[in-house]
Formats: sequence, C-alpha cells, structure tokens
Amino acid sequence: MIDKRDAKLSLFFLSISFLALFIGAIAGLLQTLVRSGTIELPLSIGYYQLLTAHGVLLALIFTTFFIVGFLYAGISKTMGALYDVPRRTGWLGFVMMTFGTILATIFILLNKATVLYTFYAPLQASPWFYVALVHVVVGSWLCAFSMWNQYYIWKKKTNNKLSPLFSYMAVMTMALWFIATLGVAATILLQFIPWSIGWVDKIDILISRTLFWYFGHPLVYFWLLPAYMCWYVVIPKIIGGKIFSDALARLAFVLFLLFSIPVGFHHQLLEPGISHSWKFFQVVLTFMVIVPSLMTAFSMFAVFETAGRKKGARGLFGWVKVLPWKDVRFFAPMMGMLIFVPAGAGGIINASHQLNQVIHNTLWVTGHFHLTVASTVALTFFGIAYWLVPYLSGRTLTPQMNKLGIIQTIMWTIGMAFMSGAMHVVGLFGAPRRTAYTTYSDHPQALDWVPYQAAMAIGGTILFLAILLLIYIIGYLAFKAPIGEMDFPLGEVEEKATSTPIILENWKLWVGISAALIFIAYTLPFWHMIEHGPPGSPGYKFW
Amino acid sequence: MAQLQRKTNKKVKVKKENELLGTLLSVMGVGLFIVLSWGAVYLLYLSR
Amino acid sequence: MHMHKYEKIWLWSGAVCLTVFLLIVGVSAYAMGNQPPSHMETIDPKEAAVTAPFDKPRMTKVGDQEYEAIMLAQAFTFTPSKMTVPKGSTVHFKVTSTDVVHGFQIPSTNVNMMVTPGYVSKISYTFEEPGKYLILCNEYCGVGHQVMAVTLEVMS
Ligand code: HEM
Ligand SMILES: [Cu+2]
Ligand SMILES: [Cu+2]
Repeated sequence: MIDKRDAKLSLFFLSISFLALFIGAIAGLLQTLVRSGTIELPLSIGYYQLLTAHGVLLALIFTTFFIVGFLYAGISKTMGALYDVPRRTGWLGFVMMTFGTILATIFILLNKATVLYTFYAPLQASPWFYVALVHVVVGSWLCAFSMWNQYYIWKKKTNNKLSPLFSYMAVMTMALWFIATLGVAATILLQFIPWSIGWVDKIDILISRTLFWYFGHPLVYFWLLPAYMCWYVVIPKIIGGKIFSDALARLAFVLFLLFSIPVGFHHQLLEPGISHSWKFFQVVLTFMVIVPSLMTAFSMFAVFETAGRKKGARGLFGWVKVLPWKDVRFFAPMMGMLIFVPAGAGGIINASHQLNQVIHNTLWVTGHFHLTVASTVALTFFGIAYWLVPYLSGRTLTPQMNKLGIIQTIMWTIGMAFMSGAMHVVGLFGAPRRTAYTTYSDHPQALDWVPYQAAMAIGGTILFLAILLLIYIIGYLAFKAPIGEMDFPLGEVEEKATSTPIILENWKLWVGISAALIFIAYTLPFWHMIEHGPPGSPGYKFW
Repeated sequence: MAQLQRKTNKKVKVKKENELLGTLLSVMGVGLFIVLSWGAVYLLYLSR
Repeated sequence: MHMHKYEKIWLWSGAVCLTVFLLIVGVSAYAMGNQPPSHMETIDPKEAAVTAPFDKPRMTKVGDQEYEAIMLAQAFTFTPSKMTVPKGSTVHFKVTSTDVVHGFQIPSTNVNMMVTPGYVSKISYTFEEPGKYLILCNEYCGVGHQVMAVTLEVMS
C-alpha cells in the first residue's frame, strides 16, 4: 500500500474522473438517440449543448483527472511517498482543476457556452467558460510541476540513480502535456478572454485555430501515453512475464515527445491560409510519430509470447491461449490494444494528406476517436481502475467483480462495434459529424444514412448500460468490497535485456530537440498568418 | 575451447530469437490490416 | 541499444510502408496537382458580402464545360441556393464566409473544405455523373447547422 495521503489524493482525482464519465455518457446516449431520429429533446436543452458537455466532460475532464490520479499513485509507488511540497502542490492543482470543471459545466448547462469542446472562434461563449478552462489547464500544470519536483528530489536523494520506468514515463507524459497546453493557454489568455470580455472587439480566427491544434494533436498522445504505461509496465506483471526492454520503452516515449507536437496542421489540411508545403511537411512529421507505436506493438506481442513460452506454451501461437483472459486487469486493456489496430489504421488514413478530403468532418472521424480515446484508452483506464481503486481504498477486487468487469468489457466492445462501425461506414458516405438529426429536406443521400444512425443508437444504448455497470463496479470496489491488501502490478525487466543508456534521461536534450522541431514546423507559417492575416472577426452567439 | 563457447553461444542466441516468430507474424498481420484499409480508402478517393 | 532481429524487420517494413504511403500522396499532390485546398487569399469578413466577386454570388460559365461558382456561406445557408450545370462540367468553387467558420462538402465526391471568415476557399471538381448533389456545411456553426445545405443539379 502506498502512503495513505497519496492514496487519498489519487482517489480524489479518480472520483471526479468517473463522475465526469457518468454525466458525459448520459449526454452521449441522448446524442445517439437524437441522431437516429428516435427522440426529440425538450426545448430547454439542445443537441449542441449536449455535445459540448459530452466533449468537454469526456475528452478533457474524464481523461485528465484519471491520468493525473493514476500517475500520482504510480509515482508514489515507484519513487516513494510524495514529499510535502509536491503533495501540497498536487492538492492545489486538484482544487483548481475541480473548480474549473464545475464552472465550465455550469456555463454549458446555462447554455452560455454552446461552442463545443474545440470552441472555434468566432463563436463566442461567456468569458467564464474560458476562465474555467484556464483553471483546468493551470491546475494540471501545478500537478506537472509537482510530479517533476518529486522526480527531482528523488534523483538528488538517490544520487542520480536510473529512475523507475513508471516515473520516467510519468515525467515524460507531463512534459508533453505542458509543452502542448502552452498553445491552448496562449489562445485562451491572449485571444479568447480579452475578446469575450470586450477589451478587444476582434479575434484572428486562423491563429486561434492553429494554437488550438498545436495543442489538439499532442492532446491525443497525452491520453494514449498513460495507457501505454499500463501496457509496458503493468501488463507484463499481470500476465506473469517481464518487461521486454526498459530502454526501448523509454525510447518510445522520447519519440512521442519529439514528434507528437509539431504536427497540428494535419487537423487543418483542408483550410485556407496555410500553404500546402507546410501542411505536407507536418504530414511527414506525423508519420514519424507512428514509429514508436509500431515499437509498442512489437513489445507487447513479444511480452505475451515470451511469458506464454515460459508457461510452456508450444507452437507458433500457443501463447495466445495461456494469456489470463479471465483476469479483467488483463482482459480490458487487451481489448483496448486489439481495438488500437483499426484505430491506428484509421489515424494513418486521416493524416494522409488528400485522403483527409474523404473523411474530414464526417462521422468517420467521430467513429475513429471513439476507437482511440473512447475504447483503447478508456478500456485500458477501466482495466487500471479495477485494481487501482480497491488498492487505494484498502479493499480487494473480488472474483465476482472481476467477472462483472469482464462482462462490462465485452459490452463496451460490442456497443462500440455497432456505434463506431456505423459511424465509420456512414462517414465514408459523407454524413457530417457534429450535426443534429436531419434529412436535408429528404434528400435521398441523407435518407440512406438513417439506418446507420439507428445502428449508432443501438451501440450507444449498449455503451450506456456498460457505463452503468462500470459505475456500479467502481462504487462497490471503493466502498463495499472486502477489506484487504491488493497488489500494484509493476513489471520487472527481462534479465537478458540490455541496460538503459543514461542519455534517455537527458531532459535538456529531448526538450531542446522537441522545441527545435516545433520552431521549424511552425515559425514560418505562423509568421505568415500574422503578417498577412485578414481583419479579425467579432463574436457570434448563434445558439 | 573459446571457439566451442562461441558456437554454443550462437546456438542459444538463434534459439532465443526464434522464440519470437509468433510475435513477428502477429505484427505483420497488423501491418497487413493497415495497408489494406489504407489502400481501400485510397481507392475510394481515386474513384470519386 | 540492442534490438531484436525480428523487431528490426518489423520496424523496417513499417518504415517502408509509411514511406510508400507518403510517396503516393506526395506524388499525387505535387506531380498531379491534387493538393488539399490551401488558398491564401484574404478578404475582410465584415465587407465580404459587398466585395466583388462575392457581392454577386452566382454560377457562371467560364469556358468549355467549365464553370465558376461564387458562393457565400452564412449561418445557416449558402448563396446561391440552387445551381445547375451540364454533365461533364468542371466547377471551380470559390467560397467565403461572412460570419463564423463553416464547412463545404459534397457527399460522395472529394469536395470537402473549411470556409474560414477572412479567407477565400477554393476547390474544383468535375461532375461526371448526373444527379442532384447535396452541398452541406460540415462544421458546427450554430443551432441551425443541421439545415445548412443547398443543391447542385447536374443535368444529363
Ligand atoms: C456511452 C458512451 C458514449 C456514447 C453513446 C457516445 C456517443 C457520441 C456521439 C453520438 C457523439 C457525437 C456525434 C456527432 O458528431 O454528432 C460523440 C462525440 C464525441 N465523443 Fe462520445 N460517446 C460515448 C463515450 C465517449 C467517451 C468515453 C469519450 C472520450 C473519452 C467520448 C468522446 C467524444 C468526443 C471527444 C466527441 C466529439 C465531440 C465534438 O465533436 O465536439 N465519447 N459521442
Ligand atoms: Cu492529430
Ligand atoms: Cu454549419
């Protein structure tokens, strides 16, 4: 068991995370029902209001709170109890982030911020919505500072020993997050807040979009890296194996830091004002960030195969059978990994320059990130929560809850197959995302989409039931399960594996290269936007 | 003696490497899936 | 850093595939002119509706089987709202927005681009098949976003 005070901090983050997941899922269910034409919302709440709540609460709040809570638990486990300053900073971060979350939710529910979670200018929300987002971001920075501080003190006290793999990855994840959120903080503080208060009357749209997407792509890696941490560090232990290679795992994380940030233009491929050569350049960098994921795929299969062979599995694929399929701590993340195959393939398609014209802003994209963040990442997080929540609250994961967890995972996978599958197909037909129920005056093409939207609602309903089951399990594990000691599964490194080169812990070097790549990829096109930008836009409230 | 040592070492190594053949085939399967889906959407792009 | 032989094989095949993907899209973009829409021209969004050519949104014939569609995107419609061209025509769309960001998409074609206020967006497409094409907005622009669509009829 880790220090009680750290367990409490972690549990507080996890609680907000699951609360956000629950509310967000209600919105998600209603969205699928509306889009299928099954229900009409009462006048007091609109489709886009729900969609804003869903995006903010799930993409931004559920993920960030879960990640920070998980990282704190693992840091305290691998580097020892938090020192006073890092712990206090962590609580301050928690308070700020929670305050921001509540404020944002209130303004979304008041219908004063129906701008979706990407809040594209010149749609203009209440200034309080932007202030709320700043609190979430700055609060998360405090958590980043606190984790780095812990790492720094630990390094000093241990005379610069090689850091534990988990903590190294946590520091890297927060470094990526910090560099990325500088962009979104800049656009909110320098553009949105002064403009929504009325201190300035115009906003430069392209600059705000560019700063947003400078943040928006590494955001998805901020979700993914903690899932990778579970795969690299936790899963080997659960399946009775060893970490394939400490050095290669760290190298993968370095590559994520370097290549996941200077690539935001792949979200802006179809917009004017950015020259096609800079777009193509960032597309090439985007392809570089696929490499560490290819490395991860190999590592994972290698861990499975090696562990299986040690258990006596024979033949080419005998090791598949001896994996602990009945252990939800393995099963949920494993389904997440398998789903990452189509999710990753979709991502490569999305980033492929002109192929983006086929799928941009269609439901394909929504289908895609329900595979990445809402399945790969979410299922891995669920798999973590099944042991982390009882671990932190001094209880145990009972066989019965384990079984319910497996059922939950299966329901999620089936629900997602319906919802995301239908979204992918109908997206290729051209059905737009972020659009309430419509048949465009009974245009035959739009009428063809309706059956797929019904399939989405079937999937959405299954997913919602799965969320109810999840909340029940998590609640039981936190408050009802038998008292006991759980294990925090942490893998050890294969003895034969090569030692880890110290250069991988040279933060100045990696942050320096990351900054250099960002400068190369962004300076000139950004300068062009400023120099040759059109007159700005006033705010609009079209909802 | 040294030569013998090298020989056995080599043998052990070869055996160890072969242990991951299932892994190689699995990731290659993943790769094939990626190539096929990419190709399918590219053909859709060309046909439009 | 030691790497397993099979991992090297895997990473090299991966790298080759990714390079091939990039070569395909790169050649298509740079040698065959299939660049994603990246027009650089700017315009004052407040004045767009009274600035030529957007003061007279229309479809005009500019050549043999060639048309130009000057269009305005405004919450929640496009102008002009009805257009017709004969089969086999190439249409050059030139679109700008007077208010918020809109999308411009014709399902089952490769016509798909963003319309950002302050910028002029351009895209061309040759309509080989007759039919009533839907032009819709695919970026959230407000409560009426789901009704923002017009049609383009391609006559046989
Ligand atoms: C009960 C489970 C869920 C259901 C039924 C559901 C359903 C939906 C639907 C129908 C949409 C909008 C489609 C449109 O564009 O009109 C959507 C959007 C979205 N969902 Fe989910 N979803 C679920 C879970 C999740 C989870 C767990 C996450 C993330 C962790 C997530 C993240 C998102 C995001 C980021 C959007 C985009 C919002 C936007 O376009 O502004 N969803 N979801
Ligand atoms: Cu991206
Ligand atoms: Cu719209």
